[in-house]
This record gives sequence, C-alpha cells and structure tokens, in this order.
Amino acid sequence: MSRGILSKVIEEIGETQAEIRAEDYTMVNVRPGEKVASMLGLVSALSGKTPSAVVAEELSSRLAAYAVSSATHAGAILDAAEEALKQNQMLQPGCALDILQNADVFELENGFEKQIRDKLFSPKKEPKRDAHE
Amino acid sequence: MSDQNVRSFSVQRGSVLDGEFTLRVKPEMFRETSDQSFSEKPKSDRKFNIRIKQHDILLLDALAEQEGVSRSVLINRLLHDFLRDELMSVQDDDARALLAVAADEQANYDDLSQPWVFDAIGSDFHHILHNILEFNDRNEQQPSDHPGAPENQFNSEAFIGLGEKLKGIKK
Repeated sequence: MSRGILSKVIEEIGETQAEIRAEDYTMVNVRPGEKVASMLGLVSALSGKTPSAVVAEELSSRLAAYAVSSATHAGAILDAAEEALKQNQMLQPGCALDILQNADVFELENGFEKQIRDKLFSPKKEPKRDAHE
Repeated sequence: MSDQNVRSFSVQRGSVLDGEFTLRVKPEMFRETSDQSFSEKPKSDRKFNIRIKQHDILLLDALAEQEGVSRSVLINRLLHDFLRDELMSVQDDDARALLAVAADEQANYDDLSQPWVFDAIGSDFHHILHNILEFNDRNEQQPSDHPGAPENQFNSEAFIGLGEKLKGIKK
C-alpha cells in the first residue's frame, strides 16, 4: 500500500523536530519585509524546500562572511565565542563561529590543550646548584 | 456618493452655528496615483519560522548589539544579500529578469524600497527590461524587425522553462 500524503508530512515533521533537538537549532520567527519575503517565497516554491530549509543551509556561512567583513566585528566575535564556549565548551559544527575558527579568523585553546601545552613546553626548573661551584 | 465619504454629526456649543453638521469628501479632487493597482495589493506581512543554530544566534545577537540594530534587521540584511546573490547567479538575463519580476509582483513595496528588478539588471531598467523579456537582448530591437516570429523566439530555454514553472506557482 502506498503511503499517504499525511503520513509523509507527519514523518517530515518528526524528522525536522529530531534534527532541531539533535543539532541544537532554535526556531526563530522572522518577519523579513516585503522584498525579502517575496523572493524567499519564490525560491522556496521553485526549489520545493521550505523557507527554513532554504535559509538554514546558507545562514551560517553568510553570517561568518558578514562577521569577517569588518575588523570592528572582532569584539562581537569574541563575545559570542566566549558565551558559546561557556555554554557548550565546544563550537557547534558548521556554525558561523566554527567556520571563522576553521578559516583561522580566531584561534581557540581549550582547557585540556592548555594543560598539555603547559606540561610539554613550560620551562623546566633549574636544578639547584651547589654554592661552592 | 458613498457613505464612506459623508459624515454627519451634531454640534451644540451655544452659538448660532449649532445644529447638524455634514462633511462630504470629494473623491474627484484626490490625485489619482499612477499605479493604484500596485498600492492596492495587500501587504503580505509574511512571517517565516527559520531554523538557526544556537551559536549562530549568539553571534547574530553580538553583532546586532554592536551595530545598534535588532537581530531581525541583521537577519533581514543577510537574507537580502543571500537572495540577491542567488538571483545574480542566474546566467540568462531573461530568466533572471523574469524571476525578479515574479518576486516583485508578489511584493507590496513602499516608495523607499528597491524592487528586485533593479538588482537584476541595473538602474536604467525599464527600457532594458522590455528588451530582455521580449528579445533576450539588452539592445534596442523592434518587433517589426522580426515579422512572424513565434512567441519566445528569442528567449532562452531557461526563460521558457522558468516561465512555465512560475505559471504553475501562481495558479
């Protein structure tokens, strides 16, 4: 028996929900204005994807490109990265901050890496020398 | 005259002018807008639920705060740039113009907005737009130069295919 339209729709809803949970997405309600809404609706209709899917694939790289477009954004990048790391200790794979890190826009050393570095490269204590030497 | 243009009301202020007042608006005195059908289009006020990675939200908020704008404004700016690049990535001039026109037809712009066709083909677009949609050519051409030419004679395959698909969407 072929699957009905409703069962497909419900399955897609379930998959989307699972994806949201698994990858720490947040649904944001956006009212983009007439111009963007009309083209987004058109691209969505032509591609057969939801507007959310059209945007989700692209937003992180766009955001990363925007962030790196001006040196004045450095503070904002640091603020966001600090907050993200305080929350999760790691950057979400594929997020704008992750893209920026991979592009060497900033570097990150976590606590574990710092410990290793300290152990391997810290200056060794000089042995006490005999006073008569 | 329609009731919308007439208003009657009573005024009692203890003066000789007391009594029933009537106001009538004269519609014929209003300046007709040249593109009334355009302005009558209902504002879509569309909202979209967009999935955004949580760490991207942190960066969006930090950048928005630094620039003194809302997160929504920043997302809108990013979406606009993304969609403009998508539009400009269409190689065939006529297909790109058709996409822009189709999107503009769905929008109810205010006077400050720049339609997609400006993005698609530049500032002197009216003249060029006609030539592109008709002849897939920016240069001036006259229909009389091509007597008996069938419809879409000059258009690209992308234009024809896209036109068919857009007809389906508009239905």
